[in-house]
Amino acid sequence: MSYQDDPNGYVGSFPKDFTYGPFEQNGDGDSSSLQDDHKPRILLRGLRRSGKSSIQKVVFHKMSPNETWFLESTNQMVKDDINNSSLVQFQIWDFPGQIDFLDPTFDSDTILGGCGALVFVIDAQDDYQDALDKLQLTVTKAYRVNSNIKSEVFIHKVDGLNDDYKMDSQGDIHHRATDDLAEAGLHHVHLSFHLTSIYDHSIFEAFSKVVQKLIPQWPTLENLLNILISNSGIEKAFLLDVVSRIYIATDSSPVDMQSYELGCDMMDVVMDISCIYGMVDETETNTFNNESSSLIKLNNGTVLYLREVNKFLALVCILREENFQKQGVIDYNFLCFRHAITQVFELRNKCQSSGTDRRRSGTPDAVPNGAADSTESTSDHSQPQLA
Amino acid sequence: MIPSNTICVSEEGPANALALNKDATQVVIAGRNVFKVFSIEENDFTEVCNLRVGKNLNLNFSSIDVAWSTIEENTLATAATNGAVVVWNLGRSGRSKQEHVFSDHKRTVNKVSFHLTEPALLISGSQDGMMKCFDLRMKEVARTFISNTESIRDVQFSPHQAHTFAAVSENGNVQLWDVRRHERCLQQFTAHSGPVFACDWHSEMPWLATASRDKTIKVWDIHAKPNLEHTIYTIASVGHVKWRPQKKYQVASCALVLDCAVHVWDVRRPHVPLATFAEHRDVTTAIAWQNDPNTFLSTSRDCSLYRHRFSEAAHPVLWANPHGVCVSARGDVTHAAPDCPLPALHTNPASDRYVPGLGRKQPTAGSLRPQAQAALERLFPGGAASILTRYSGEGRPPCCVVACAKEYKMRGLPTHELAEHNAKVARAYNRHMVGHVWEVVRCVYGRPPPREPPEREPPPPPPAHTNSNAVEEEPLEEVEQWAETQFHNSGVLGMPTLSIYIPPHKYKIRHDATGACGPEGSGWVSAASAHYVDVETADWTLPEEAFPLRAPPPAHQPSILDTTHGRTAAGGASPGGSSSPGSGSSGSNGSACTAPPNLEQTSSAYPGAATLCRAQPEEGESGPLWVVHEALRPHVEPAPLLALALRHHADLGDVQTAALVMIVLHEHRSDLFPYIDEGLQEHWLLGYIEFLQKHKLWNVATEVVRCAWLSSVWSLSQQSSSVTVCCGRCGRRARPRAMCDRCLPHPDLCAVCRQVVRGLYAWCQGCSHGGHLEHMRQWMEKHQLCPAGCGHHCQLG
Repeated sequence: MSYQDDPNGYVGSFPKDFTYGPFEQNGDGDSSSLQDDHKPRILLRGLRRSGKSSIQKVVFHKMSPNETWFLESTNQMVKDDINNSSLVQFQIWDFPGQIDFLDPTFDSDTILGGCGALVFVIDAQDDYQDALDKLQLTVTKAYRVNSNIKSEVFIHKVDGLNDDYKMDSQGDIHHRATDDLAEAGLHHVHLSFHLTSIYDHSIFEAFSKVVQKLIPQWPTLENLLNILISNSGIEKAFLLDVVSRIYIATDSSPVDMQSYELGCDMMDVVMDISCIYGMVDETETNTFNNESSSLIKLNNGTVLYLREVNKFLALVCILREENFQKQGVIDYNFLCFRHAITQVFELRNKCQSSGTDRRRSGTPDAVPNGAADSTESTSDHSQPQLA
Repeated sequence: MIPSNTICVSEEGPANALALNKDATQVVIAGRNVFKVFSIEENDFTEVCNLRVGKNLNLNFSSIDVAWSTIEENTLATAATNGAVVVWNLGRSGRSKQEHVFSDHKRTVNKVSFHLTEPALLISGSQDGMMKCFDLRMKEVARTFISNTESIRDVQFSPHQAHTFAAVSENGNVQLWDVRRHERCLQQFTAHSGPVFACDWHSEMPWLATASRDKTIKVWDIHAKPNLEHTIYTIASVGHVKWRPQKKYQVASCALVLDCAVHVWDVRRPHVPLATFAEHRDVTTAIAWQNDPNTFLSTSRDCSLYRHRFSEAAHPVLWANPHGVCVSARGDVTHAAPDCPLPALHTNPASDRYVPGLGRKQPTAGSLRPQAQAALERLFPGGAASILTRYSGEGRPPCCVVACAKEYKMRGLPTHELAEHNAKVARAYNRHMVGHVWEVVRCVYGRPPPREPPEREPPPPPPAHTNSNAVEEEPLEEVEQWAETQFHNSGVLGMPTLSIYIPPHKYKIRHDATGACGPEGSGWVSAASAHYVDVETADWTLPEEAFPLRAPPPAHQPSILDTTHGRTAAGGASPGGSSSPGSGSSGSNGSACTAPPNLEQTSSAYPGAATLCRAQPEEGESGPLWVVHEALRPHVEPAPLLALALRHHADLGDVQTAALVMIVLHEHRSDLFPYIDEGLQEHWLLGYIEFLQKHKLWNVATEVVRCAWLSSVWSLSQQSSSVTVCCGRCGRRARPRAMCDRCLPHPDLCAVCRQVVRGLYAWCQGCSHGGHLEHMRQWMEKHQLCPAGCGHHCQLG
């Protein structure tokens, strides 16, 4: 999918007064109440007992996967605000499986209107025929209300399946779901499929991909990371969301599951330590601040390096020990990177506050190039030190 | 350290990619900080040109991928992280060879590749899921292909159809496109459960190899509908894959993480690489074959460029211990392993472990006489330590448990008659221990039929095997003979293969008392063969039988029961090589011990219920044990003993007996309830039902469900039954009570008269063909097969 060619793709799904203001707002009650109804939403849909609440609890509430056994089945719609802690401000709406979208009393325009992504959860360990029928109805309905909605299908609970069966059911679900949609006349609606399980990091990766599509600055962030890692000798860098540990962006090299797991675990360690020892006074709730950084050396010659980017984001780098000898260069490059990210979001905020039509001036293309150029020069500047 | 004829050049930084020119005389390597052309000489690489020059070294010089035109000698293309596709012309005068920069992609370009016949066409695959086809003459984008997937990781033109190219993406999909049509892809299929990182077309076959993060390489036949031909399982995410030229079945791969080596696989041998090149000290980033099958180049993150020769390859097959396991259609399992020190075999825990339902394990080589063993070791020093073991179930119908399940009766008659019937069935399948349990049930819970047991009952079919309670060794006279005849070449390539066959040790086989075991006694040979894999042989096939089995010697071994005869008079047959004679005497209170030694407690408890004696074995074979008369002693309560016996059977894995005895007991069942808790009962029943369903004995399983006394079990038939409806025309599953949406416009035709059916439509539920009720009825009076010609035996009504 082309995110550049199609700026309306996400612009349309974001309300105009939606701000990415993680830098100046700090528990700002007024603005949050104002935006409350306009946040982009991620809707979790699926048949009952397919694991929606478990996903939400594991990804955003750090519940351990085993505890989800004891979750009651959800009986009413649960809104979950992710805004107060994370860069990406959105709501997760966890629907009870039995609610019928087509019920006339169900206010689908309100619910689907501001919705950025529709995540449909299919239990792969169960017979999924009913789920596919429901998927088709849901997507059709959602598309009619909001044509910019991104439809994602999580083929969930694949931990219990063997590899062959996993492949078969993925192929089968893919085939049948796209067929169903084609029959309903929605050839152009694109479904993305993810094999997920709460018992490994696949659910985090899948959620990362969903969230990335909702962030207009995502390609810019990726380019910035590319520049950072090529100039610092880093092998892999993740921009992690502090609370949920999903990655907002990573560089363009292939994501290896182990590196991502390492990054998540490191994030956990840092958060735990800073929660225990980082508290200065009782009133302070957030102990993760711009002083936060961490360095872990593994015995295989790999270094994990974590730096705070802003209140909601952390950068985790994986690099070789020999490349870490010039830590000063890496730190300098990191400061350039952090500055660039700040610029990216400030530009966005400026566009919004000046009230210009975002459809014209706020196209993401303008941002990455400008931002990329600025860091490019600073990075080039640091290059001689590296060589 | 470095092998003498492998060439290594260190550069200033690691290269991400390399490409060869069309004659494979020059190689270009490209990375973040390096972009150089080398000419390949006999023992050396010589730097021809450094393209990373100039004042303005921007991000366009940091390449992710590089491609060399397959036609033009001087044209190169690179892909950069900032989305630029740069075309270079080596023939340009001056220092900068940069010809043109296409900055159409906004995100990282992962792959560039030239058209194989059209020199001006270049295609790129980018992180944003788009592919762009560039026309080098017009210096602009000719077409943009939007894949609607996540990042495109590799694009490759097909060598078979000039306009087709394959694109693989991070969501596990493979797409085939026509380069002239950008609206829709020709085909799309899900190839892997993780991101796909690379693909490569086979030069002769219509095959596409894909490499993925799910640690597999898959080979797809793209001829018509994509069909999975082969799967290779590696130890790490696979980053690159390249077919070996001129070899139909061989493919080279390198890993993305963990594994630094380059492996060459034979796709028909998916678990062990054919050859491994482990020179690199960091993960390999690119590989390219040098137009001939014996040399290839590879670059790595350790900043080196190697030329590997196939003659220096390591062959992991040679290091491996050949272990063979094979399961036959009848449920026999054989296992062959070398390198196990012979004496250690006796302490091998596996050999002591009883495998229910599979039979006994026979360590053949381990029980050779010392001198035979010495002779063996002299003859075959390398393979003398081989063993071949076999868990056998041969000599009886495929599975006696299944066969019994079909013939057992579980209701309709009084308990003792059912038990009698079932006892006969069990005996007929040589499950004497089980038969015995049934006899006990008959005696305890039924009226004694007045008869002389040995005459009344039909003698069981002569068991095809013999009993013995001790392992006897037979002199190994024919060492020389087998040594000559059995030295086959079972090598895969006609190369000499070290094969060794260890002569069978003639076991005297006992009946397995539980009936779970069949006759063994076949001679077993074992072989340890180190298959040397010939690198020159282009096309070899794996042997179908790694170990040619020697024909089993006659299983019937008379004259070995002499030692036991004395004891059988006392009624004690104590089978099992490890059993002590004492187990026979445990039945010393005038009753028979009928259990194997590990049953001692149970069996010594039996006598209270019935007095059993053993038919005298006549022709050296043991007859089964017969119940002669029942002396039901009033003070003995049979229920706890029976419960114990059932538990024991269940512990042996024979849940069938446990479940069925409980079913057959009917009104006496409640006697056992104090001794077997309900959870266990349910466990048995469900286990048996699952077993039956696994063997597709649906009717029997339903019968069991029906006979069940536990509500949780008999309610099974009401819970999990579902009926799905599928459309008779297209076979798609339709929604219940509705016509298939797809076939709705077409009316249903009568299979007999081919007219549209109005009114009643009768159809066969098996094959879903049907038609006018009257026509179908007439047809079925005369015919059995479906009128539509599908070959189904239809049933109407």
